[in-house]
Formats: sequence, C-alpha cells, structure tokens
Amino acid sequence: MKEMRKKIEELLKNGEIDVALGYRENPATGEVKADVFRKDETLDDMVFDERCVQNLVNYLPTLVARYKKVGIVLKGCDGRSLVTQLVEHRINKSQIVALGIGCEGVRLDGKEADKCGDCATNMTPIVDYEFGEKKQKKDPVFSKVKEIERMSPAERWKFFADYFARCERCYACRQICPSCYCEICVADQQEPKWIEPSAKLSANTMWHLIRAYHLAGRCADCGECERVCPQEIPMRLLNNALEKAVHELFGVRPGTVPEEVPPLVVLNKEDPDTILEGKNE
Amino acid sequence: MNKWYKMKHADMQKFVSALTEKWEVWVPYRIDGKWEFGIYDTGRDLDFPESVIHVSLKNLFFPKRRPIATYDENSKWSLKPVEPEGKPRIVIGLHPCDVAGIEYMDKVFLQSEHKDVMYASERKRTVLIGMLCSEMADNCHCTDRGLTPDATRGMDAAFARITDGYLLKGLTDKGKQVLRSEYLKKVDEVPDKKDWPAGRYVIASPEEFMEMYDDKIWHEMSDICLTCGICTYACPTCVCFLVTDENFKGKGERVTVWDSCQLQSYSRMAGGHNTRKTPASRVRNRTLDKFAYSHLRYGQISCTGCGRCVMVCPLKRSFPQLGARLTERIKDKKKGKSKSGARSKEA
Repeated sequence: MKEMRKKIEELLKNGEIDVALGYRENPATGEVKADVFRKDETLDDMVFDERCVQNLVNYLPTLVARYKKVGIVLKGCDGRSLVTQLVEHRINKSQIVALGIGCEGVRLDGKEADKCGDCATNMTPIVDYEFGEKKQKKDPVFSKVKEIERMSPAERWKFFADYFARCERCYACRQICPSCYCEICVADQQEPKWIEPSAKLSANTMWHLIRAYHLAGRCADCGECERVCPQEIPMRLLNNALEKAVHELFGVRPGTVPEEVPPLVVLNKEDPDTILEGKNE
Repeated sequence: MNKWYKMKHADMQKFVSALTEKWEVWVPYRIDGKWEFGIYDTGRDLDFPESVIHVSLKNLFFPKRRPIATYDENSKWSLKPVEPEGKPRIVIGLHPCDVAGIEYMDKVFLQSEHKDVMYASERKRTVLIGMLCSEMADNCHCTDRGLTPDATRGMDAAFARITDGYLLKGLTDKGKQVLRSEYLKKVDEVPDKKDWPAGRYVIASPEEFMEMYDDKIWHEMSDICLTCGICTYACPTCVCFLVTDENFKGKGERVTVWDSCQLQSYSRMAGGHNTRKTPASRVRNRTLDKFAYSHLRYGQISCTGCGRCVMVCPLKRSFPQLGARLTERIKDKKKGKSKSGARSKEA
C-alpha cells in the first residue's frame, strides 16, 4: 500500500495523471469511501484493505470526460469491470492509468463478501503498475446458483417473488452498474413502455429480469448491484446464473481476458447450439 | 386543562386492542431490525422506538402507487374516477419529524392551488397520536430545522414513555375522544424536559442557498453520488409523482406513482430534451428544493431533520452533511476566502 501511495503521489506530482480515484478513510469514523484524490493534497488517508468493497470503475466515464488522464486503484474484480468497459469502447485506455493491487478479499457486513468465493482473479487483468501478490485462482463453483437450481420452479418463483415484491424501483442497481449505461434505459422508455414505472410485483419482476438479461456475458460480478440495494434483493444470483450459463457454454468469464471479444456479440461456427438441438430441456 | 394521564404498559396493549374494533390502527413494528409502520394485529406485542422510525409515513397519505381512475373496453375507455375510501384510522407512535413531514405535504396537496382529493380523504380519516422522542438517533438533526424531539405541534394526541408505562395527553377534540379510556389515571407527572443538542448540521438561509445556483460545488457534490432515487423515496417531504396508465386485457387503471428528480428520466421532455442531464444538475435540484425552493413556494424549508436519507443511501453519504458543507462554502464566499482549500473531505 505504501508503495502504491508513493507511486500515485509521484504520478500526480509530475502530471502523468490529473486525478486519482481511490479509497479514502474517514479517520473519525473508520469508514472507507470512494473518493477523488487531487494534486494538492496528501494521500495519508488513502487506504486499501478488506473494507474497500466498492467498485470504482463506475466513476470513470464522468471523470475521463472532465480530466485528460485518470489514475484508478483496482482490485481483481474491478479490473474485470474495467476490461468490460474497454471492450465495449466506453472508455479509452489511453486516458486511464491502472494501478492494480493484489486483493486479499473484501469484507461486507462483518464477513467475507459473497463474491470473493468465486473470485476469478485477485489482480486486475489490465494493469500499468502492479502492487502486492498475485494469486492463482480455481474455476468458479456457483454454489448459490446451484442451490437455486435444485428448487422446483414453484419454490424458485416464490423465492424470487418475495424479493421482487420489495423492490422500490430506486434504480440504485442500475446507477451503480458500470455496464448499465444506455442513453435511455429500457425502464425509462415511454413509447413503447416496456416496463411499468410503478413498484408492483409484475413490473418489478420485469425490471429485474430485463436488467439481468442485458448483462448476460457482460457482467463481471463486482456485486455492486446487490450491495447497494436498499431492499437487499439478491440480484447477484440472477447475474451469476447467466454468468454460469456463459461459462458452461463458452468457457468464458467476462472481463478476465482483455483481448477477448464477448461471446454474445460474435457469431462463431463452433458455438454450442443447445437450444436448437433441444438439449436445454 | 390538558393534563397528562398515565397508563401502564400492559394496559396500553389492551387499550390499543380495543381501538381496533372501530379503527384501523397503525403502529410501529420492528422488521429485521428496522422500524416500520404496519396495521396492528390484536395480541401482538406493542413496542415503540426511542427515536425516528426508519420508514416514513408518507406512504399512508401519498401511496407509492395509487389508482386515480379506471377504464375498460365496455365503457369505451371513458375514465371513471376512483372514489376515495377507507375506514377511520389511527396512527400511534409517530414522531415530531413525521408530523412536520405531514404538515409540509398538507401545504403541497391541500393548501396550494390544486387540492388533491385523494390526499385530503387520507388525511381526514386519520388521527395522529404522536410519541415524544426520548433520544436523538445517529442521524437525527431536527433541532437544526426548527423542531424539538418532544414537540407536540400538529398531533391530535401525544404520549411519552416513562419507566412504568406511558403519559398521555389529548390535544385536539379528535384526540381527546380517542383517549377516553378506563385505563387512564389522572396524575401530576409530566414528561421530563430535556436539553436537546443542536448545531450538527446548521444550514444557511434559503436566499443564501439560491446564490449558490451557479457555483462549481455541485459538480464536487455529485462526483460520487449515484443519482438513484432512494433518498427521495425515503424522504417524508419528497412528493413528486408521475401519472401513467396501466393496461391489462381490455381494462386499465390510471395511477400516480412516486417519481424522483434524481432519476434522469424525470426531466426528459417530449422530443428527448433533458433539462437536467448531468448528475450535478439533479443533485442541485434536490438540495435547493429541500433548502430553498420549498421556502420560496410554501414558506417552509422541506427538510425535517429526520435523517432517513442518510440511513438509506447506498453509498452511506450524508445529505445533511452536504448541506452543512454547502453552508461552509457560502460563509467562505462571503468572507471572500480563496476557493482552494475550502473543499473539505468528501462526505
């Protein structure tokens, strides 16, 4: 961490980056929040530890619009997120300095964050300056998705309907997701009105399913949607189910290989064709 | 006159149960550690929080989703207004900040040019029995917004918790009628007077806020904000709604649904132009609406100091702290200080 702080200070000082996006600790409360670090300040309160849950990539588009060069502190999963943004040409790599740090897992509500269980890489796949230790990771297990898959359709519907009914449609999940960036969201379209704006079960279900499907093969599982949900709806389950499907069909985990084109935007002769072969039943 | 009466805790339970015969009774419940109002089931244990209830009462008077008219194929899609209905109800255990929220909604829906008949009916059928707070929670700052945690203004009746029960007092005719009960004993006791701390989030005057309209600070304030709508839904005085038609197999309803100025779609107009496209402009709108616009329009700022916006914020940002930070900036500007260095750490 010390090395990284020094590096960022140096980069800010000699103008290689205009601002750095990192985690700031409030010494009074011990809370850690995302923040923008500028040239004229000391970086004493910049931290990186298990409290740094938040994905910072979502702030990049706003910052690169305002500054020429932005430094960003990245965990492994946030790095995957950054890759998905670069692959979709939302951000230009030339404006980013990626500062990767070997993540030892993050903690949420007093225990290890759920997403860390299936961690694909503890070091960002795209990196300019590397700090800390890189670790080898195993294949994902998707244990929670498998649990849901064992339920009968009726049980599964009840499980999700109970959660969906609670949704307030504040769209925090959409706002925090780096991959949700449509100019006009499908939920906001008036003509045709795909999803009713009122917070009721039918419309909420539509919203959550469409949100998840739009992220199929793109979601890098940073888990932010679930973390910010004020109603604690387990949205990662839906994303994970689709991630699992993409992993099984194409052997791909989004964002792990910077050069790879996402499987759902290319047509490949070798692609499995389970739907037409009826194997999906 | 207007003396306090005493009731034992066990009697309170019996008293509230008896009320359910004639009234729909709403009391606070603790669900997963969060306090929320719900309809009282006879026999369930009654308890009241010391301070703010997490979910505001707004939904009772101005529901998230409210049908205002129906239509169907047979009547050639002509609109039939929905008649307001509902049995008389009592809300027990709301706090001074909740009442302040209701007072503000009254100004918007009842005392302005267009009277909202649905809101008027919800308001008319409700008796408010407020509870005096015995402490201030982490995010409470009503003392900085012209309230006190033990004020009884706007309540029909009020009560306070004491060691061996409750002290109750009727304030309006409606309230006194409800409190007519055999369980009440005349006593000389009065609730303890406390010195409430103030000065946590002091804010500037509405006029001073208006002068900040073109300041750069809005960009700094919105750098980290998600511009999701949850603070507006939790806020007891955010009353924006949209009107939409919901159709299903040959019939449909025209409904009002909560809307939020923090969402991009809120200010999008026909033709696609959006007057508040940037997060900064939306954050500015909400901040100024709470601290300035509301005062210009209704003569009262619309922040009640309940702190619910802090509780629900996905990023745990403190909106009141932002207001205080803005006030600092206003002061600095007046003193003519240079802008650099005025930027305090992110709230």
